[in-house]
Amino acid sequence: MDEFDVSVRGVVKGFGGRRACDGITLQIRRGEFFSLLGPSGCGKTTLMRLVAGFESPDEGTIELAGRDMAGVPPHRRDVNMVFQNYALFPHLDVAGNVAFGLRIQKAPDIEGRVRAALEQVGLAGYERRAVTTLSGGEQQRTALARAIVTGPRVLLLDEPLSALDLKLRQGLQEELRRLQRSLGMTFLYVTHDQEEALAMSDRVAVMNAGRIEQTGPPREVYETPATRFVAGFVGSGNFFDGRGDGTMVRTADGLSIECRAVGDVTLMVRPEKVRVNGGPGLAALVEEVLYQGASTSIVLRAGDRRLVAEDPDARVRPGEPATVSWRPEDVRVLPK
Amino acid sequence: MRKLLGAWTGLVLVTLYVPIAVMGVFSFNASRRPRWTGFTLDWYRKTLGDHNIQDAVWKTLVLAAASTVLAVALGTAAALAARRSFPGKRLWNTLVSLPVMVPDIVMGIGLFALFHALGTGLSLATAVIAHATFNLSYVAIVVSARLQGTDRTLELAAQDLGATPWGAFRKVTFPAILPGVVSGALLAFTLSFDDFVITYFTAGTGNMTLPWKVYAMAARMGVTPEINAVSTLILGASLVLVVAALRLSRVPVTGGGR
Amino acid sequence: MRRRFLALFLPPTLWLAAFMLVPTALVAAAAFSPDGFATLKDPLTLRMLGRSTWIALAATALCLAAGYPVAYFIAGCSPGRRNLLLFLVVLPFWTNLLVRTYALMFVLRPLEIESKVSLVVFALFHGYLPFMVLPLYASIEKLPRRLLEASQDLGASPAATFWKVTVPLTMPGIAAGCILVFIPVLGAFAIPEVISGGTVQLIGNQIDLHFGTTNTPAAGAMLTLVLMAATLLLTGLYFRSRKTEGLV
Repeated sequence: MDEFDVSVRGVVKGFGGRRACDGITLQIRRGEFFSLLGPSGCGKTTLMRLVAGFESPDEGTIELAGRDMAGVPPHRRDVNMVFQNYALFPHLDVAGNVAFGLRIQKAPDIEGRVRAALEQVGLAGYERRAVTTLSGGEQQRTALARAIVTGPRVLLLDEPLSALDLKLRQGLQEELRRLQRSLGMTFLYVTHDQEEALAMSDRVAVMNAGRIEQTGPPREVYETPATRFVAGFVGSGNFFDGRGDGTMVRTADGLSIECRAVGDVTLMVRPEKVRVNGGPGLAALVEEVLYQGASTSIVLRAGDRRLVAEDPDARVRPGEPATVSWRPEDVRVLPK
Repeated sequence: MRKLLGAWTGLVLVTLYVPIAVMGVFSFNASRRPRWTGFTLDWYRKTLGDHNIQDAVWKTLVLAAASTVLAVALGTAAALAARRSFPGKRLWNTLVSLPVMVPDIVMGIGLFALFHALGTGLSLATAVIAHATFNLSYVAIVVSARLQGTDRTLELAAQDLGATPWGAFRKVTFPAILPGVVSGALLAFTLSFDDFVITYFTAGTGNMTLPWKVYAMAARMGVTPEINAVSTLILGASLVLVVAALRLSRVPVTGGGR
Repeated sequence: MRRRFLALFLPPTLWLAAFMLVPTALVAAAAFSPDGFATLKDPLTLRMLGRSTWIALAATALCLAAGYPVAYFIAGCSPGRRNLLLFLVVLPFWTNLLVRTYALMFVLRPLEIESKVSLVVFALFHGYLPFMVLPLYASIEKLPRRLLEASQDLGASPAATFWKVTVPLTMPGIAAGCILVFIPVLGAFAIPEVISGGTVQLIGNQIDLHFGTTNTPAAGAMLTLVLMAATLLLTGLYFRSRKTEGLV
């Protein structure tokens, strides 16, 4: 039982008729880096606020370390949060912010622990700086130090990197991951950035419209998406709706795709699995070639269908005809 | 916790309003004593028929109107001048807001000393000057607040399109600040109408205004139904003025009040 | 351009110079006289000044204690309700202070309260409460909700959050409210006169007495100057706090 630091069972939370969380169940293991991934408005922040105790569920239960949290206010929960815009106290300096939780606890050796926490996040020597003079990345680190210094059981991170620029974000992703490992602390991480979620997490839960569509390790979620939403949100894909007879799936516009599926299904092929002019296949016209540095996206049209390929070997130009193909084992079958 | 706060807020509002309401109700009380015996309009008839009161009403209105006209002209000019930066602007800002900040009695005594030194004696005219001085500040604050919301570039654009500076002011800036000017005027009128302390030191005893009358009567006779009636009338009049002013524009209500 | 500016700038500036600065200078001139300085050495005057300050502080504290919960409550209401409540708090403040004080006297007289000083303190609180609530409300309303949540998240109870986050962050509003109440209360004249029937004499009443009754203008001028100095000092502090603090 207590191998789980967070267990959420059947949680429903509505705001004026709209259900932000519509029957959420998930369990997070001790020491796990767990991400809630979904578009804005999917309910991921609400779920996090429910765990933190800022909201209470209409239905369902939330347990932290096996203890039911019903009626337990935020300040009595052994979780700390890194807020989206950091929520640093402007009337306190960096050390004052980091020491806030320790002072409340009347912990011993506050100064030493603050110094250690600042060192851990790479802010050694920043104690006396006013938070208003910090850069975005420094504010983020201060917020992190403030949240970890009291050693909570679970750390909640609400899109902590979304306000930072790309380079900084990538650097901090690595650092966060390293910090999480060295602390052995359970992280519940909310993000709308699928690359971030895939790169950092032990497990990811993909949320849509108040529900969890799939939970699993990043590779599993990416390679075998459970639903069409997951397939489309975590990476991109080429989708084919059709009917399978056990050997072939036929689409309404007359394509036949080799696949063992039976009945009404949606097939998905990832762009990087699609080859252009790599052998016999579907006849298409190259519409656009988008060079992206490390990769090149090729947008093709076959009848009314728009296809996207990422084939590093393709040498095509807009307007040229091309064939499109993929290996049968790269086709994913999704319920319709 | 919120319930407790709400209850406290209610209690405070009751404390603010109950005295006014009770006084208003008792201005219609048939008995002289503060025990309800029946409805009457006698006290209103009596006070409104009193020549002294009529005279005070007249003087109050003249004083308020004249000082408002002066204050609106001077205060609007100050607000417009404040759009430019010039050396000593911070000091100048302090000077303009000083009449709002200093206690009434400081202004009253200062002007009393001035008129005494000049040998003009005290009259309604000296009171008009005194009222215009404190109202100038209120008008300047209200109009400045309004000006901060208007775009200076509009005026420049109008000039760019061929309007003369005066034409641009008349067609662009003035319509934009008009609500501020009007509400500034109404507030100035209200403040002048309600003022007692400054009038007391600058008008001379021959020129009692309505609030002064209330003061004099209350000091001499304590509570009487006549004072209740006059006070209720004053409150009613300032209520009308304030509601009108607040409706005309969003006034920075933090400004003052006397 | 320059002429237009001077046409706007000079009239109000000259007006204020003539009717604000010159009077102040005259008062100062009258105060800086042997009689004026003698007033400041008079133990009776010093006692009166002390008592006035004490009464003004008490009224200010009462306004703060009563007004903070009100401002806090209003800031947490829905926008429609908030406007209504603010209007109700502000309304008395644009009505006649003297009439309101008279009304208060009318209500309190039958209670036969013994202590005239408490009556004066209460009447001053009653008269100047809106001056406190408005700046408090302005600073509480600007307080980011997120910071309160962050505090609770870090283990602070609602009470601890209030004292460690809300109060420090609304300090500019508290300072502004206290200064805005303290200045006029220290110079109050009509309220103590009406409510105590002239038995409680504050600085303002003493000034009136010196000019109107005892004909000792130098002493009155010195007391006026003391009030003016206190005003300028506190106003300076107020402007400085507004400049350095970002929240109000």
